[in-house]
Amino acid sequence: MEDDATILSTGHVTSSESVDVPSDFENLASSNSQNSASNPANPDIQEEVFVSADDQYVSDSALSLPGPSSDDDISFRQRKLTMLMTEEDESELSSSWKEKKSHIFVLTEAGKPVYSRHGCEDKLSSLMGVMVAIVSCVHDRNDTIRSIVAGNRKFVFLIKLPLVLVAVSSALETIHQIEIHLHYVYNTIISVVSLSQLNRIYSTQKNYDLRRLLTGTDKFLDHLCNSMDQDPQYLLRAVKCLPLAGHMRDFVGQSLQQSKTDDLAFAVLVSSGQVVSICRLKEHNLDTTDLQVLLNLVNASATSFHAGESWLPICLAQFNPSGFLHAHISFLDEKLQTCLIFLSADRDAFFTLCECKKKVVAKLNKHKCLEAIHLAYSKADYTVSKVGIPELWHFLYKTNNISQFTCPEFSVPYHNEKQRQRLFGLYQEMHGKIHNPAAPLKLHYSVSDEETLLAWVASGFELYATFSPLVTKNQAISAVDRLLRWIKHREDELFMMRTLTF
Amino acid sequence: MGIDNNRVDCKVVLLGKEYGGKTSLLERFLHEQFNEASPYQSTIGAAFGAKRVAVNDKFVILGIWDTAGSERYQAMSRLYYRDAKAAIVCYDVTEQTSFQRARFWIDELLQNEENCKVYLAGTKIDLVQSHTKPRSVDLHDVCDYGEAIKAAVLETSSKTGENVNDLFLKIAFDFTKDPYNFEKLEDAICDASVVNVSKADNNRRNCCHR
Repeated sequence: MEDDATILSTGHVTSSESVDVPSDFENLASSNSQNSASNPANPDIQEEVFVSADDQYVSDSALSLPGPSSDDDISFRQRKLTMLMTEEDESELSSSWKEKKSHIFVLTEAGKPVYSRHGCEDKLSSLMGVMVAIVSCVHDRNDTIRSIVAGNRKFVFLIKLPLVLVAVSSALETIHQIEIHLHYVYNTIISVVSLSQLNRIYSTQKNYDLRRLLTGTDKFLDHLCNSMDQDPQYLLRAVKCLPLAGHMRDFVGQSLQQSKTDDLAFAVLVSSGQVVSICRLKEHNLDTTDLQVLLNLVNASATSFHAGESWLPICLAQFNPSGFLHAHISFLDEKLQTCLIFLSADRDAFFTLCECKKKVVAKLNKHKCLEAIHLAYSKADYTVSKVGIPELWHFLYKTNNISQFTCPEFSVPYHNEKQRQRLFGLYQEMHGKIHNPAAPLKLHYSVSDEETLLAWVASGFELYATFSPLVTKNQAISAVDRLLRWIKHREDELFMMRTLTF
Repeated sequence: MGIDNNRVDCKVVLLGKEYGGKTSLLERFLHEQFNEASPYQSTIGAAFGAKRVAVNDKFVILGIWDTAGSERYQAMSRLYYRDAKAAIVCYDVTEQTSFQRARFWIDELLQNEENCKVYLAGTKIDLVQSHTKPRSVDLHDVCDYGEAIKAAVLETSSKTGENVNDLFLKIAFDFTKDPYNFEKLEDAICDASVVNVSKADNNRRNCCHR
């Protein structure tokens, strides 16, 4: 069994090193060894452990090197994990659970379950025990585990003590992309409890059950995980703006400016999950990740806000991981589409912000902005035919300096869910190749029976375009030129080019 | 909400265990609606709503804070009951633990805000009436407890609206009984759009408070 396991490391881990395993992990391992005896691992599965020191990414080129030698301990444990994920525990884990493409687990360093994307995390405690064992086993050698690849499954670890986040995916995403997903999950948890509160709790109570503090947060995490599987905003790490005439967006921005009060950091207007305008303090920028966490929170719980005006603490990890901002959230229409968010540092500012809201709404009404916004989102997205390039089927365009993106709605041949998922998978794959940390590319062109794909990263933008499979390379390149001109021409409408300050 | 400025005469706070029906109670009072179709959504943070009621030719504006029941916001709830004139402590009549939690909230509240009037509101009484779920909290036990802490007790249903208006009107009425509060109130002109309560029908369907 050892022969089929290869372990790659940066050289810090060698087979001659002995590993001290805490006794409870030994118990865990021995209880699992009985399972493995009756269920020998599939010899076809090539297992590789990538271990890196000092948080360095193990580059893909290094992966092809033969490993120094097998390491019984690690390979044994990760094989346990693979088996638990694939064959074991019939009683607890249903086959439909195992068939899920992408799993995300959050646990504490003591192995207490915090969240599982699929299934009830309580029933997964033995699985989470094995995960902690793997993490501490590598940690004992002053190293940090990043990922394991077994067959077509990737196990990705993000260690943010006191939390450990693990993703198991059999989709096409790269390890780097999965890591980014885990960062989003982590930031969402931080938005609820704040980093300083988390550290304070776990400095005194190592086995605290974090779920007590996260009650009701599952819906944010579920919503986030589902969106990450289909929404390009997390892939591109950019937000989408509601397409709106430039002068109208300026009116909205000026209306938001009316809310200027002490301690008000940001005012944001969103409509059907897309940003309309943002007004901010001069000295602070609203980070894209923070904005995405905020939008996810609003989108995931739209109905729970409609009772009146809501007031809740939120910790934005990039803004300040140790403190809370206070969010005043109110919907401006009956359909719960248009939402006004104020973020203030003053926890007693609620009534001041109620006044601000009235001022903003009055100004919005004066310029008939709400009607324009309503019209914009009821028109839905533009179709790719508007661009006027027949061979162009779909595209994603991201402006790098303002982290915003635009894309047309999915149309034929991507009109059904299956095709849409397939196209999103292709975008993920292209994005992964372009952003391969070992060998980043500038241009990627590929032709298949079904479509031609082109990805291009330039200094100011990133473009992913899908063409008919019959297009020639020259045609594709001239089409891209026309597309870029088309976007440039509509920049004011598609993007929020300016954010006003208070 | 029909209120032009943010003047609030009487600050009311809703407290109680999560899934206890606080948001539904507020929704029923503010908008006269109950959304049976939508699945349970836990409140995050807190929500605020205000409504004007007329009592004895005076308007009382009730400003109501709906707090989140989950433990994470427990520390925050203290912000909301500070200076509250009244607290509606909710418990689910079909769930015993929710009543224990209500007692916890009352203890904590009275320690910090001894002048805050407490109203114990049993929620989801329609479930018991329709035999959908058995009752787990005995009304007499609650009344005995209510008497000990001088709290009014009402069993309500946000689904049918039973006792919901009565509860809030009682709060408004009790508020105006204090002459200090009464003086500051705005005179009510005859207005059909506001709920009116006269001395006579107050305490009408109130079970054990005198």
